[in-house]
Amino acid sequence: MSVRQPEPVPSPIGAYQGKVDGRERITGQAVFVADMALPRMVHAKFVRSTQAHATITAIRLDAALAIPGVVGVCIGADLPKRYGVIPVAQDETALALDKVRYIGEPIVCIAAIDEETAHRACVAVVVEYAAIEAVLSIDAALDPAKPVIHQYSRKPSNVLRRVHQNYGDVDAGFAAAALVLEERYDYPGSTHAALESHAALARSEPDGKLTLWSSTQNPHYVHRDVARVLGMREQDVRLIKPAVGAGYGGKCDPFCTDICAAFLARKLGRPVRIVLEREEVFYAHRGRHPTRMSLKMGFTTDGSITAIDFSAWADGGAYASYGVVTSYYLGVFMTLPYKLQNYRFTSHRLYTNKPPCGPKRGHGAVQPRFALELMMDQAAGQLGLDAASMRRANTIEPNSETCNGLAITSVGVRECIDAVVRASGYAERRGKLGPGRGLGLAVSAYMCGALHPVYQNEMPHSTVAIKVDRSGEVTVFAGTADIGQGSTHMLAAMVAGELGIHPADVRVVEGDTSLTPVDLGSYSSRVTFMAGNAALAGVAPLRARIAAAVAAKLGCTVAEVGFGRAGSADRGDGPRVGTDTSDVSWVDAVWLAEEATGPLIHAGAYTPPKIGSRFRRQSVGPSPAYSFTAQVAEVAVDDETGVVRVERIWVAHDCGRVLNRAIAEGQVEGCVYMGVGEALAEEQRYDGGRMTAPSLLEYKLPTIHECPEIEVFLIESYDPGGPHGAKEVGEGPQLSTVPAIANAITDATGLRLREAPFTPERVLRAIERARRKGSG
Amino acid sequence: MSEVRYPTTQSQAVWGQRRAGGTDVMDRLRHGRIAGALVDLRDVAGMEGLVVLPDGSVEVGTKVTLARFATDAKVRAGWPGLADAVGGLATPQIRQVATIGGSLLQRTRCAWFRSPDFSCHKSGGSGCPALAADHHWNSIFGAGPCVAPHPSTLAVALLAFDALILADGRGTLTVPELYGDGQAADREHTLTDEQLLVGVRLPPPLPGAVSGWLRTAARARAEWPLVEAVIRLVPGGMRVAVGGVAPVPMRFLAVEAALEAGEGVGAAAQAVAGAASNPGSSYKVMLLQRTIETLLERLLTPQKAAP
Repeated sequence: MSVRQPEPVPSPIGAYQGKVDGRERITGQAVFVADMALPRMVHAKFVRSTQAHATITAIRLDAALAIPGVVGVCIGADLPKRYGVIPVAQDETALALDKVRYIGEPIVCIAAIDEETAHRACVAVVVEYAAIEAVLSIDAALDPAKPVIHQYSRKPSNVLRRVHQNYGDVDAGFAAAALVLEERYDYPGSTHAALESHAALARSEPDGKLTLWSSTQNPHYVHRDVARVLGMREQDVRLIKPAVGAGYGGKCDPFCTDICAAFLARKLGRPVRIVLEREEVFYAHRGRHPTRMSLKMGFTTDGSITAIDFSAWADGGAYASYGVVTSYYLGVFMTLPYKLQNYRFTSHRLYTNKPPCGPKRGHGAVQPRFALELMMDQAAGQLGLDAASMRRANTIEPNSETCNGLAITSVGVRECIDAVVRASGYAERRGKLGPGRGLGLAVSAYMCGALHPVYQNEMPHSTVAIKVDRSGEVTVFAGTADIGQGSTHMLAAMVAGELGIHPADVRVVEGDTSLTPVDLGSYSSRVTFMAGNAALAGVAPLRARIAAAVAAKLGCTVAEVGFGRAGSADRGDGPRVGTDTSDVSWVDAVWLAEEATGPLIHAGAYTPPKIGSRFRRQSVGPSPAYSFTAQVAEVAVDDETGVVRVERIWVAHDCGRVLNRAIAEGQVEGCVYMGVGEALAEEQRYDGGRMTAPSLLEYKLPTIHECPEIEVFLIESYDPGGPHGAKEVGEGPQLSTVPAIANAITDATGLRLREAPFTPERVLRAIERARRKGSG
Repeated sequence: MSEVRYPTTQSQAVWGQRRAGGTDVMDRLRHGRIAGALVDLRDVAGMEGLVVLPDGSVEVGTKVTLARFATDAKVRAGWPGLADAVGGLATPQIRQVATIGGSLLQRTRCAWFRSPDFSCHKSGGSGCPALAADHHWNSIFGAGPCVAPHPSTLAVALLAFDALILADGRGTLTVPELYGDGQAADREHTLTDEQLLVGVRLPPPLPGAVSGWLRTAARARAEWPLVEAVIRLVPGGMRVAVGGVAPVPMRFLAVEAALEAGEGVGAAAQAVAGAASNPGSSYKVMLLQRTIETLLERLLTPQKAAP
C-alpha cells in the first residue's frame, strides 16, 4: 500500500488563510496604474476651478501651449456629453463646459512629455470667470431664491431628489406610544482616503480601438460611460482594472482621469497617463454626505417601537454621482433590525457648490444609524430599561418582512448582541466604570448587494467563466474588481473548494471587459454574494462532469467520487479524485472528463431573486440578504480637555458564513477604524466653498495612536441565498461604530452628543453647557 | 522646480529660502508660497553638534534633527518636559528629518495662508480670511493682522526653559526676542535674511525642577495642537509656556506668579485674563485653563507624572 499524505486538501471555506494575491501586494509586485509606462507615453494634468460657482467667460491657452514639451490639450467643449452612473441623473462632464460648480472642478486637461511640464502648462492657463452666487449650505440649497446649480431637469432646483415613503399608520403609532422622542442630529462629510489616488492610462490601438487601464471599483459602468462620452462603440473600448489601492466607494464613478486620458490618447496617438495628486483626490471626492437629520420615535413602556418619523437633508455637492441612491439609502434601512409597523421618511439629496459627495463605505446608512442608535439609548434610559435587552427583545425574526417590504432571510442579530454584551461585560460594567469612562452599544444592519442594477435590464448581475486546462490548471474569468477587499481570493476559494484543489492553484483573471464576463462592480457589498454564487453555479457542472468521468473509469457511482483526496507522497502527486479504494490524479481526472465530454469550460451566473419588492416605489434598497452588527465601545473622556479616547471595541458581525476568517476579520477591523476616524476627528470644513484641508496632513484621519484594540466575533447565520450561506462583511460593521462611541461618551459623561465628530472643542463645549445648566 | 544652491560656508548661506530638513519648505514650495532659489544647508560645515558646556548648559546646532534632540540622554535627563514635547510633535518620520532651525523658523500652518487661492497679510496681501471664517484654530491672545497661532512646539518648550537663540549676525536672543509680536508679513520671526540661526543654548537644569508637556488635540500625533503647555516647576523658576493660543509662544506670568506664591493647580485660573476670543475660538479659553490645570495636576502629584 502506498504512503498517503497525512491530510486531504482541506476546504478553504472558513479557513484563516492568506490571500492568493497577497504575496504580490506585500512584495510590491502588484502593478498599479502609476507603475505602468508605455513607449511614447505622455502625462496629463488638470487646470481646476478657483471659483465655487461661476460662468466661464474665457480660457486662454496660448502661453501654456507655447511651453516646450506640451503636446496636447482638451477642454470641456471637446467632451460635451453628460455622463453619470445613475441614468436618471447624468449631470457631469469630464471638464467644465460653460460653468464651474465647485472649487477644484477640472476645466482644462494638458498633456506633456512629463508631469512637471504638464503642471507648468496648467499654471500658465488663464481662466476668466463671471461669478454667480454660490450655494454652500443645506439651507441655501433649499432656498428657492438662490441660483440653481443645474438646469438639465424639467423643474430645475437644487433638490436633486426628494424621497417620501409612508408605511403603516405613523400618527396612530405615536398616539399609542408611552414615550415619544424627537431630536435633531448632524453628521459631517468625510472622505475615503484610499492609499492609491485615482489614475488612468489610455492607449489608442492601431485598429482605432482603445485600451484604458483605470483604478476603478466598477469596470463595467466606467466602460459604458467612457465609450458613450467618446462616441465610440462599447465593443471598441477595452477597460482593464489593474491592481487597485482601495476605493471604499471613492472609485465607483467614471472620472475625468478616465475620460481625458482616453480622449487625449486618441487625439495624440500616444499613450496618456493621468495620476491624481492627493489634493485632487479631495476634489474628486464622492465622500460621505454631510447630513442633517430629524428623528421622531414612539416607544411603549417595554421599549417596543410604535412609530418612526425620519427626515434627512444631505448636502450633496455639485454633481449627482450616486446621490439618487443615497436619498433612498438614507431612509430604507431604518426598518432594520427592530420590529416596526409604522414608518415614514422624507429624504432630500441637495446640490451645493462643493465637491460632489457619493458612496462611502456604508453608503447613506451610516448617518441615519447614528441618529437611530443614539435615540434607542436615550429611550432605554428614559424608560428605565437596559439598553441591550431592550434592543434584543425588539429585533426582527428570520424569514420575515419589514413594513417597507424588505424580505428578511437569515438574522443573527441577537447572537451579535449577546456576543459583545458578554465579552465587554456590558451588563455589569456599564455605568460603573467611574467618572470619565463609559461603555456604549449600537446595533446595525446593511445590505448584500442591490436587487436592481443601476440601469434597467433583466440580465445577470454577475457571471463567472471557468476553464480547466489539460495541465490541471483552473482559470476563473470574472468581471469583478478586487480593490483589496479579497474578491480574487474569494473566487479562487469558491472554485478550489468544489474541485478539491488549493486556492493558490486557481488563476483568477478579473476586471477586464474584453476577457471577463460582466460583473456589476464592487459597490453595495454585493461581490461575495453575487459573484460567489455565480462561481458556484459555474463550477458545479464542471465538477459533475469530472465526477461522472472518474466514476465510469473506477466503476463506482458518481456519488461515491470524492475530490481533494489525499495523494500519495511516494508518487509526489497532488490531490486525487476517487473513492477510498481507488482514485486517479487530478490531472488524470481532467483528461478523463475532456475525453468523455469535450472541453472543460463552463460559466455560471447570478441574478437576484425577485423578493422584497412588494412596493413599486421600493426599487432602491431591497437586497437578497442583510447583514447585522452589534458593537460595544469603551471610551475614556477627559472632562478637563474634552479629549475622547476609544480604548476598546468589541464587534460582532453576522456575515452568514465565514468564507475566509483572515479577510473577514480584516474587513470588520477596517470598518471599525474608519468609524473611529469619523467619530473622533474626520470632518470636511469649507470656507466660501473652498475645502480648508485638502491634504492628508490636515484632514484628520486617525493614526495608530487613535486606533483601539478590537475584538471581532463572526456570527454565522447561514443565509439560504448566500454562497455557502455567506453575506457581506465589508461595509456593515462601520454603521454601528460611531453611535457605539457616542453612547459610550454618554455613559462616561452623561452628555448626549448629537453632532459628530466628537472633537475636544465640541466635547468641551457640551461639558461646559451641562455645567452651566447644572449650576444655574 | 526652484533652483537649489548648496553653499559650504555659513556666510554663503544667505539670500534665499534656507532649507535643512525641508519638511515645511517643500510643502510651501508645492503650494506656491516660495519663490526664488533654495539655499540648502546640507553642505554647510558645523551647526550639527549637541554638546554639554562646562557649566552644564547644552548647545544644539541648527541642523540637529528633532529625533536626535528628543532622544538624547542628556536632554531627556536635564529637560524632560522639553524632550517630551519635541519627541511628541509631528510624526516619527518628520522628526527624523526636521531640524531645530527649521522647527523654530517654520511658517504659519494656517490653512488660508497655505492655500494659493487666498491672499492675506502673511502672503503678500492684506486682511485675514481665517478671521472672516471665524475659525476654531484662531489665537485668543495678541492677534494682530494675523490670527494664526505660532506653529512651533519646540519654541514653546524652549521658552519654558529660558533657552537662548544663537544667531550669526545678531548674537544671542531670547525666545521672545526671536519672535517679536509674530506679525511681520513675510516671516514669523525677527531675523533678517542676512542673519542665520546657528543653534540654541539651554541653560543648566535647575536642581529639583519638575517639568512636563501636555497637548490637547483630536489626534494624538501628526497634528498641531489646539492648546499645548510646557511647564517647569521649581521655586524661583516657575515657567508656564503655552502654544496654540497666540501668534507667538506665550508665557503666562500671572500663572507663574501664582505658582511661586504656592497656589498649586488653582494658579491655572490666572491664564485666561485678557483672552479675546470670537465664537469660533471661545472654547480655547476653557481649554487653555484646563490644559494648564491638567498638566499642573500631573506634575504636582508625583505618582501621576507622565512616564
